Amino acid sequence: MSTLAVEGLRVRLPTPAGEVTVVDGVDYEVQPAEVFGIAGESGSGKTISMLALLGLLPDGSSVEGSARFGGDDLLTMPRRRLRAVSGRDIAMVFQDPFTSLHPMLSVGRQLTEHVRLHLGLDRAAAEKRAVELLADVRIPDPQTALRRFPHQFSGGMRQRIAIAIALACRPRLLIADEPTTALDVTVQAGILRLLDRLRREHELAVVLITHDLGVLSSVADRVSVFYAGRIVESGGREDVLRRPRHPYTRALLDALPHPESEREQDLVAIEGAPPTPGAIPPGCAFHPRCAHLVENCRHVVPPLLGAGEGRRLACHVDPFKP
Amino acid sequence: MSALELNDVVVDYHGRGGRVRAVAGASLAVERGRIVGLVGESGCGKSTLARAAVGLVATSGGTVTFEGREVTPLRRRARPADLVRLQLVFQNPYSSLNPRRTVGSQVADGSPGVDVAELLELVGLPQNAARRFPHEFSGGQRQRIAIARALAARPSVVVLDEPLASLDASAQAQLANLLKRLSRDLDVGLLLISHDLAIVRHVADRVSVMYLGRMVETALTGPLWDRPAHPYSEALIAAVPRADGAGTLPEALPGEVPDPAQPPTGCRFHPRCPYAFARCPVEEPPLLSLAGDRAAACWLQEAGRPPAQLARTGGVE
Repeated sequence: MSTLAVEGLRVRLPTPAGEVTVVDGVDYEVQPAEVFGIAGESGSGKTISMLALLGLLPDGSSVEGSARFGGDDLLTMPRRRLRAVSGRDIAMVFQDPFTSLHPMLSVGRQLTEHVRLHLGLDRAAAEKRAVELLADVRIPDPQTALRRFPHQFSGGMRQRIAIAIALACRPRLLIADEPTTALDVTVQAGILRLLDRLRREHELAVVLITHDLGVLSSVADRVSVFYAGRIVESGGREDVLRRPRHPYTRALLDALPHPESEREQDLVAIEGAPPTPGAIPPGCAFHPRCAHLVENCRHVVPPLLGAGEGRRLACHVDPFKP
Repeated sequence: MSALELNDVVVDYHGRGGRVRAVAGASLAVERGRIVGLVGESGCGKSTLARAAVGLVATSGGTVTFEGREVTPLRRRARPADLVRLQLVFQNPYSSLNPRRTVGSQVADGSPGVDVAELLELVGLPQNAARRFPHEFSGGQRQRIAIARALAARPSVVVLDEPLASLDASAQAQLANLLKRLSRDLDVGLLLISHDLAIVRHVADRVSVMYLGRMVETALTGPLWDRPAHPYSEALIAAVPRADGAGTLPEALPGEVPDPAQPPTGCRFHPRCPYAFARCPVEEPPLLSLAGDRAAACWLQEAGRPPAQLARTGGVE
């Protein structure tokens, strides 16, 4: 059974100019021990769709759809219960661990407080668990690390500590939002390897949000590509990244510098910029930037339909059909 | 002679904890019409070196020369007029652009009589951009505005500090192509500071790799990528994740960049190096000139010879 099943998720946010639709009908499922990758450019709704599940949207936002987690629907759950569930069974890791770690509290205090609150352990048991957790994320000398403060660690080590805190209550779902974006590639590689091991060892379902298709390509099992608040293509990692069918997925991949490509060639940039919420073009939101458009694309939103072998595609033209 | 030359530059920062040597003797040259990439992890001193190159921080040793004259650190007096042809573009254009002034007036700053419309067209912005304000533009477009402003001074060298970081893939590709075109068409030398080796490979003609305040390797981009001569360059390349759908995990480099206040003995990279042997912790390797117009600071290489192949090792977490 899937750990998380999101259906028909729609999010509208209040802005000075009125309500704006930021996520417009999104469906996906995440299985235990699976890394489910969400790719998209800034403003595509990938982060908002996650915050919506945890009830972390600003006041005045409206959310539709359902998000089944275990036997419950996260979107209709009472706030108190959602708070308890999202601290214990669902954990989040963000881009900048400096904002999620408390600068004035020792690492040990932050770790033990969390496990005592949610698991009801006594002080000694909590400290033992904290040492285990730091060792699990490969923090050298965990006993000493407990007494140190976040600023005494490098960016990569801080992200490992944030992951340790996230894992403290043995969650079933980990949401990682751009967890390696602020890190050097050498350090990023270590965090990706860590995530890959943890999800196997802990049977952890992971939702990995990133703008970096290279990151998804290394750890994700399945990938979905967001554009202007909708999924335009999803499927197995190899299918989507090696044989993309949606013109946007293909354009995103072509824009990347590939290590094996000819360096004298120009990169193939996508013309224009992604639309901002509130100014989404009618029909297929990608049509003004698409090289393959037909008349229908200007007026009719293409539905996300099955395209074989677990792939789903939202394109009227499907120009790269094999 | 190159337009911009840095010779054995040393930069010290003085803090409560004493002296920190951010750049410990680094050399670099940028010719007109060529793009030099400067790469390394955060804390390696590459941004400090960029600032020293344009005279924004004082050097404690070595020389910086631009078109034959020495670049002296900026003090309270005005910058020498000739140095206007040496420009710097910062990482975050939003903090270097004034939010309350139109784009046109800022591009023309310090270069009165310049053709703003022509400059905006050159960097691919619409004509009406001149009358608009910075907040009306996306991150990539703001970076173009900053570049247009640098070009207004008719520079022969522009130093760009992480111009492509924090941009989405499509904006990054557009800007990378623009930099290549501008360098060629306007005969401008670019010093491109970046932590992203994949994009540098596409843009730069030559690459210098910096580690803990020192150059460890410099070579033409293609040969550096195909056969890195320094273990650190090799590690940087192996850590780049590839978007090929194969599900291969990138290689991590063990350990962390050491504290520049207490650099390791001998080769500064030896505690993290998979190939380190007895000589490495004892004696610091000089930057050796190798065959094929390249240089590397590693005891595994021999001066005047083609670079020896390094053998890749397994991954660490």
